[in-house]
Amino acid sequence: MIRKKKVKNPRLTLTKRNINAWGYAYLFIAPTLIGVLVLNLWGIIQSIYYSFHEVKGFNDPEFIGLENYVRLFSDGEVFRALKNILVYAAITVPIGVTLSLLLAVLLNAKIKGKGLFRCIYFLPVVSAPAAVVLVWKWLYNKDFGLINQVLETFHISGPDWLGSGSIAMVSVAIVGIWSMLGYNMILLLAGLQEVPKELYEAAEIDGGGAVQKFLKITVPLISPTLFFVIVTTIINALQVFDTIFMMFKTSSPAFSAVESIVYLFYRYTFTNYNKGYGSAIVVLLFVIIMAITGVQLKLQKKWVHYND
Amino acid sequence: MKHKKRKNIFVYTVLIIMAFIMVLPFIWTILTAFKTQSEALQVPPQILPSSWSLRNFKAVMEVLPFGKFFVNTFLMILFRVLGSVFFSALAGYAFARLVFPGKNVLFAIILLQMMVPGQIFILPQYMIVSKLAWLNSIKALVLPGIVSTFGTFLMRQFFMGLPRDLEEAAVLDGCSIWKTFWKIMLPLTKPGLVSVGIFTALFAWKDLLWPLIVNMSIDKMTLSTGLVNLMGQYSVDYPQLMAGSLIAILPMLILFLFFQKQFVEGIATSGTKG
Amino acid sequence: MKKYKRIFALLLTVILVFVLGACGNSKNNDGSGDKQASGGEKVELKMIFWDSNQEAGLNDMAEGFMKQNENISVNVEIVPWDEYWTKIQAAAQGGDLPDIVVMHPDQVETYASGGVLMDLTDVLDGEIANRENFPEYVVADFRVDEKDYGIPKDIGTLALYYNKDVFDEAGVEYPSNAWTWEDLSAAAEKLTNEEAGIYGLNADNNGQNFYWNIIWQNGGDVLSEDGKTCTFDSPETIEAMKYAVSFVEKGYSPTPAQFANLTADEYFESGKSAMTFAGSWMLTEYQSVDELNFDVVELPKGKERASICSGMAFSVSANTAYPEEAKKFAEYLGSEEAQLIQAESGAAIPAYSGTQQPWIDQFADFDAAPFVKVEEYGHTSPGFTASTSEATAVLDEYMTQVFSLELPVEEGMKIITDKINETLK
Repeated sequence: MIRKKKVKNPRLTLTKRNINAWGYAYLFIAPTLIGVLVLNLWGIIQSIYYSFHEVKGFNDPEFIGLENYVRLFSDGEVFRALKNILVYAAITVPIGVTLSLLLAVLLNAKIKGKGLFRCIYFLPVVSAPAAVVLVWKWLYNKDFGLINQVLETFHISGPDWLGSGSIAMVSVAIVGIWSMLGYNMILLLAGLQEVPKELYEAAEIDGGGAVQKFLKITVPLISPTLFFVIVTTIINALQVFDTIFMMFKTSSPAFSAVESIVYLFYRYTFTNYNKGYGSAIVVLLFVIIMAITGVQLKLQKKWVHYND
Repeated sequence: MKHKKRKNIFVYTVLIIMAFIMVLPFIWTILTAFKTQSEALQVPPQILPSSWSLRNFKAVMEVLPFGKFFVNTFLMILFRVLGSVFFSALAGYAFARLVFPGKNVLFAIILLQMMVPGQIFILPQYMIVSKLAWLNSIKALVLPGIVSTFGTFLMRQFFMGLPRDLEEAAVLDGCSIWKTFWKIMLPLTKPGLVSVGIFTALFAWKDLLWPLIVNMSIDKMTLSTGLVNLMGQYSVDYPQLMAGSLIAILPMLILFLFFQKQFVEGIATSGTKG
Repeated sequence: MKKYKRIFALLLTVILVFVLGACGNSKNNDGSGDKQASGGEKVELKMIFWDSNQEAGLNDMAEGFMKQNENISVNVEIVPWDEYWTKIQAAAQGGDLPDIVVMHPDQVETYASGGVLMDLTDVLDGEIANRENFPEYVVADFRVDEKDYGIPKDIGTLALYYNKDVFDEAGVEYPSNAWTWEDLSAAAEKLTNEEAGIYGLNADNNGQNFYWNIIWQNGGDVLSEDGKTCTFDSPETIEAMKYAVSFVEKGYSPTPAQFANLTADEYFESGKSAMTFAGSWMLTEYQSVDELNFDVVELPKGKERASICSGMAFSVSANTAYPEEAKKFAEYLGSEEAQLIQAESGAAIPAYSGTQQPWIDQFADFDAAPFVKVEEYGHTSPGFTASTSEATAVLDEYMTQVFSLELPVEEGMKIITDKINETLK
């Protein structure tokens, strides 16, 4: 039986030369690391701390152990909110990322008006939220919104986008995809710049079609960027809040179908001044996102093509 | 030949339809900026304004010190972009290509920031700014954005996608780590740097809650927060708000148009022999 | 090569400048200490509020004060409602709360019991801003643990708005101040025109703007006197809610699903609802709609007259650097003179008795007196304060179902009462 001895990376051994190299590395990451520790880590630790306490209003935190968590796991509202964000993510991530990828590829190819199109697709990203919400509320209006009017001409009776719980999350998802297309498109475009043209040319000579080129060359080579886009899109999807906050009142019949975890957190922390429970909710979201991201980081070995 | 033409028509159709959907709110913003409040509140909505007067733009510029808003926003964006682009590139490279103990753990710590809703940082960051006596200043506006985990993660991905040969050649040539980074690797990631720049600028420009909380006087306000002054608690003058929004969009659009040119195609990696 | 050197140098310079600037400048924000302004030293007071429509009025009031106090200057800051409370919270914790903070009845308890606000009982006992001059339920709203924490600023009340054109079209007589519940229902029936998509009344799933008022008009209430028990299931309340929901039942009002598409205000402004219960605060917006030809009467009478009358108040930061001056300013803000200035500036109805006439006078097209009349029989908001605000979530969930006709009124009220009582424990 041959036992493979675990070989330690020579650059991690304690030699003078290595320590010198490490010095550079630590220096390089220092600003960002210090920034995150000072600006962000304190906030995260504080939230975790509060989650084990009762923190109401301006009073001092009172230690209550796992009480917030016990309540959390039997709270119907929390489960509902979890379901809502999973639905939202399930719709926006696959569709959003695929569309952005298609757009990026199309806008990287030889077509006229590339610059103009890129600018246009970027517009949702810079539009004033007030305007965005107004327009979508009109588009979605059941009686005279543009969407239902268009559906009418195809003899389809449009749904109650804003008032019905069964479709409300889809309404939010559509706005979500619409807002993120510009972001992801830019990122993927940047990634596409790293793909050397010669590879495409070589593939053409070999007789590859567009789809072949896309799958065998483009995707693997932009996989680092694509990975980034997928991870950040999922994280953002699970944290959805702004759109819901602006488009739905808490007393709307569709509200319970769209309330997200972050909305719940916002309600408890800022409206009810109940920072303890609010923090527990944040911790729950944090753990979920950490788990999902962790899984993705592990899986990246399988499909992300780094030049290692 | 026919095949290509059909494909092109299909592509253009898709692009144009999608472009229309993307641009709709923007068109609506423009149209509303020329309407009167009464026209803007109509149900069902009236599409075209009855007259194209600039009165709303004039009114907004009189009421709000847009000049100051632009300066404050510009400074905030400038420093945040400089800081985050530079520091993200540094850290991104280190996490991508350098070897050092604790690399993965430290990277994970940095990533943590993205995994929680930003609102939990507001109060702690406020306390820091308050204790430093930086309230109501540009410094306060810049601080939360001077480093970027988003940018670090992105730059790491970019660096990891670059071919190794250049680096190895540089090491063989005796380049120091800094030189390798600065002279050789960094220039290859220009699109990445531009992206980080654009997004940092964007987040800074959009940030509403933070400037409102750390500023105390209207002349320290940024564009986004200045606009909110156009919204009363119970009634919003929509045409004015839209006019203001259009004025506020200008810097971002200009920035984007300018940097859009940086998305030049292809990288000449023909310097190495495979 | 050279280009990079230049960029690098530039970057370094910029970062250096920034860092140096950080070390140098600490003049900007002075901490709180107890400073006594003695003879001639310039005092700066800060006031903060959320409605930009009232900024001019507040500035006028500040000027009135500054004229009488040459050595004090006042700065008014407006932060929009959605962000106001986050800012106040942050500022309070950081010890930089502005000297004068406008308080809301639902929020005052949290801030007062957190030790963030100054006790103003003696100001209300004094001569200039004596408590007798304000509706007593408004003063009471800002009383926590037997101490007063707010000088009343304004009152917001509700009235019945009606669209004259729609009434004319339907040939229905205009409402009067003598209207009763029967009159309201009868008119709503005649005004509702299904083909034209016109509704008689906005029966909105909104306590403040609709159903609390109906409940009070029937002698019922939402919470018991001591605020410790929910009384949604009392017979008077159930009866009132049945009346409130009847408009939706009979088709005289849009449903909650419809209100999710168009708000009650939008229904009224576009002429799709003939009548609506709405606040004095809506006047600015309604007036700006040229096609809207409206007038105003008092809310109809049930067993008694009732309408919400909620007031905001000026509070003083407990941590202010100038306690004497801030208190003086707060007192001025509650004086007859200041309140008259507020009335004249138009955006809010002053809380001080007898100063409301200028506010009424500014409206030429209709009689705004009904709003002021409410002072006599007003109720304050049921006070779902931060500690009881989980009750709001219960209402959001179940009241919506009641108005959507998915839950019968009586059953709904029982469920709501039980759940709210649970949150009150």
